[in-house]
Amino acid sequence: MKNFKGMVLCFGVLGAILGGCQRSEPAKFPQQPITIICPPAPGGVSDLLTRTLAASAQKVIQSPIIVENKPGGANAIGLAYGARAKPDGYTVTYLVAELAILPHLKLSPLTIDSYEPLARTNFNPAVVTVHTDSPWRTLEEFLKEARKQPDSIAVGNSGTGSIWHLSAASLQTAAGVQFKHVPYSGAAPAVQALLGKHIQAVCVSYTEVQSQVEAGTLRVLAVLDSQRDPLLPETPTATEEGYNVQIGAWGGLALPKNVPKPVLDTLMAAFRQAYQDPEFVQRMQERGVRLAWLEGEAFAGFVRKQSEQNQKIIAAIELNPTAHDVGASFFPTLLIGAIVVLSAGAVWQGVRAGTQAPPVEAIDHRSRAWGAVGWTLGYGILFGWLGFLISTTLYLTGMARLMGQTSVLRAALFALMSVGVFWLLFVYLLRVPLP
Amino acid sequence: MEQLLNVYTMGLLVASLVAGILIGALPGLTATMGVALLVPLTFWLEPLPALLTLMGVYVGAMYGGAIPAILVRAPGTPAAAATTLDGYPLAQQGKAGLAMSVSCIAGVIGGVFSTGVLILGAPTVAKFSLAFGPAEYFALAIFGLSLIASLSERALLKGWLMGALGLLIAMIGLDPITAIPRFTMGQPELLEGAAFVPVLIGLFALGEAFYQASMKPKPQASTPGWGRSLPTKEEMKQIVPASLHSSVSGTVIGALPGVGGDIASFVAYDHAKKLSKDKQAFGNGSLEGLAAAECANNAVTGGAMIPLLTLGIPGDSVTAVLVGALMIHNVKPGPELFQKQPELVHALFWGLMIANLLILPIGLLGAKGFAQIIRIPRHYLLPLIVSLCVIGAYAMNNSLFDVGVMMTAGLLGWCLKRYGFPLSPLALGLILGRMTEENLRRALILSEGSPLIFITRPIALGLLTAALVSVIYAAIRARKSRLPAQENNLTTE
Repeated sequence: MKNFKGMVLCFGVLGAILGGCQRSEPAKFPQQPITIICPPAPGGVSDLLTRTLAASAQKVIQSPIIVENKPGGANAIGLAYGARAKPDGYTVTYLVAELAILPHLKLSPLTIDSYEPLARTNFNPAVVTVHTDSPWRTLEEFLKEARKQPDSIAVGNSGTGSIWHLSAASLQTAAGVQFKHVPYSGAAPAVQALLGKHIQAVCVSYTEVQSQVEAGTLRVLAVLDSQRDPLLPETPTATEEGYNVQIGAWGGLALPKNVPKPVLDTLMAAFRQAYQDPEFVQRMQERGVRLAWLEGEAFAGFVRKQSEQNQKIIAAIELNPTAHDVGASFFPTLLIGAIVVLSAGAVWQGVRAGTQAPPVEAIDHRSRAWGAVGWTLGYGILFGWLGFLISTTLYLTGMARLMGQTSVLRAALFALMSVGVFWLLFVYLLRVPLP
Repeated sequence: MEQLLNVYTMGLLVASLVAGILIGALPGLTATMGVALLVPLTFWLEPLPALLTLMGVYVGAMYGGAIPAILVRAPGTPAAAATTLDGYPLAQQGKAGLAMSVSCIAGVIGGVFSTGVLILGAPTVAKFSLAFGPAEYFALAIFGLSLIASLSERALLKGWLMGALGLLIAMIGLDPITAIPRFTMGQPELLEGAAFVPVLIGLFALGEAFYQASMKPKPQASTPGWGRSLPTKEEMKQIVPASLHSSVSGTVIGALPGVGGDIASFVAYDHAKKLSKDKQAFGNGSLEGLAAAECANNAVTGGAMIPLLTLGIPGDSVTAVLVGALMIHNVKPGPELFQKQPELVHALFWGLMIANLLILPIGLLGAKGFAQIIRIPRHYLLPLIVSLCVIGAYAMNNSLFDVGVMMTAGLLGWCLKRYGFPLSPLALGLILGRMTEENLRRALILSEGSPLIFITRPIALGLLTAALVSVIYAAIRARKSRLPAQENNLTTE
């Protein structure tokens, strides 16, 4: 038990650190914590940016700001969640480049007009990167090779329809060449494939290739932007080389439609000030994030322009022209076939062996099993509707009764204690925003 | 070194290990999430303690995943899915204490071994991992799938059927090459596939809870005891060899970017089974099997650091978060790191080694505390497990949809268990589905449609041959074991 006390102490300390955000005199607008919805999963540049900005902004606005990740659906989930939130200013959404892509892939109906734009925070242009063992030293040499024979140069990207796929595609269109596009599940695996020389180039943000470029294993041929990158002052832009291509990943903050003007102004001022916090600026520079502030209508205009550009690129390249691909339905068809054959085999085997009696113990308590299933399904529904505290208390009480605890009082006591422990662990210590 | 060996750094390391174990032990909270949550809190620390804190969480979480896997059959992390195969039966036989300490010892062996490889041979291993292109990854995935055969020797047909079902579930979501939605039923939540952790929690833990609820409590088996905790010399003789070769598989697989502990532990488990003298015990509470699975998934930590530190390429989602953390502390992982900041790198290496060693006392002592779980009466324990499943599934992505996914998987898991279908091939198919399809198609695009790419590349050819051998071997064994079984049937009739 001593060890357990030590553990409690450790967590107490950790909890004190985790719970370090201070609350002071509530001003008029933020009466409660503000949530920033970050569609990408924890760990990436977007997550880091929102968390760092939130830390700076809560000093300004004097109210806790919580970052909540809503990953999945190529970021469509988080974007939709943010757009549908109550327009009271307590939910801010971090918009990502997919907002200007998904509608053209018919994967999401949302556009910038589904939000009240606050400001763009960052823009990282794509850079054309090759291996240093390759013969190409300039963009022109690289494109010359590509012109010789269509589909001869394999360019890796972070997924079909991703911003880095569209980047390579827009260069392809501008230069009148045809690359062989190879989708990977993210930029990092594509860079890895380039290092292993399985592909010839990637078109991703500089943050993804920086350490390899500095070590001399990869070479950046051009930045797909109109201005040179401060981190790459020697590298020409595509515009300088005569190709009018400006494309890259961006991010920015927005509110749901119809947020009251004073609230919007308060948040705008707070984030504007947080954005200039030297600590925030320094952290972003260390991570290679290119800060690019653009406010209100100008931000919306930027997103609309990006969206138009993406629409053109997507129309110009059919998204699935990849030669020699077996197609999307090949595998599922194969598997369904296999399942049919195997099931038939299993049935035949069963018939031949004679019907086996099911395990006796399993059918012992059918009513209780269905009771448990019923309670659990009900719990799943109530969990979102009544919230975690009430639904879990109800469920634990009911299930304990069902499983044989005869005293309602004891069951309820057990439920309340367990809910308390869960709350302490998940909500207080680990900051999981349970409903 | 002085920087490393002081009370402050060590205190932080211990605290982070404990936090990591807890995060790993709670289903739905993954190492990735734990590390990501801690990153902003390490801003104010010096680089070395900050990075060690994060690695402590990583190492702790990899170990922590085993605890609920053994005690309640809920894999705390996907990597612990293979741990349930033998860990849970052991706990049911009243050997929970032994299972916990064996998993701890094996985990430490794996962690220390892989850290040793990281210290001594990182650049060499990194070069090897770069040789893996789409063809090699495809071959590795096929090798992984071939394990289905030996995981389900008793019911080969059912095993393959479950494997195919797992693969089919993995096809849900956007097609990896053409980005066409498949089987998503118009739900945006399914565009990236059914979330992995909720499916695994549902299949294994919720399914088991339903199954248990349907059984009348047996007077004794309802609360299995704790049993002795330290393994005997004889048992150590089983554990150590199994752990050593699992360390190798774990480290190598961990070093391959994009392949993680979930696959490594199944591969090591199968390998241990093939080498073992007592194959019948596997799946019924084999210490070797438990040791192999746990050891491999801990060995992944050191392996995954190799491409991260030497190439700047994260091997899995946790190391992807670590890249960000390293950059914040002005440590740029990549080929130049070893030349530019050798002291820091070495301090990190030794810190990681110490973190792995510290798991031993923390794990052995803490095991007793965790084991109180098993003493909770059944009518309290089952509801608790279910509600932990629900909270865990939600916490993963803050999504109610995932709670639904978890429940569906739970019902499926219950039915499958009820009718004697093995669950592990399903999990394996689920884990390997995307990897198999993506890399086959990617390889064919690169080779312009020629399947020769799988034969002309030596690593790919080797892995495919190994897969074929594995399947044939399992088929022969299945036939052999069926004959005496039939004789038994005759005698009982």
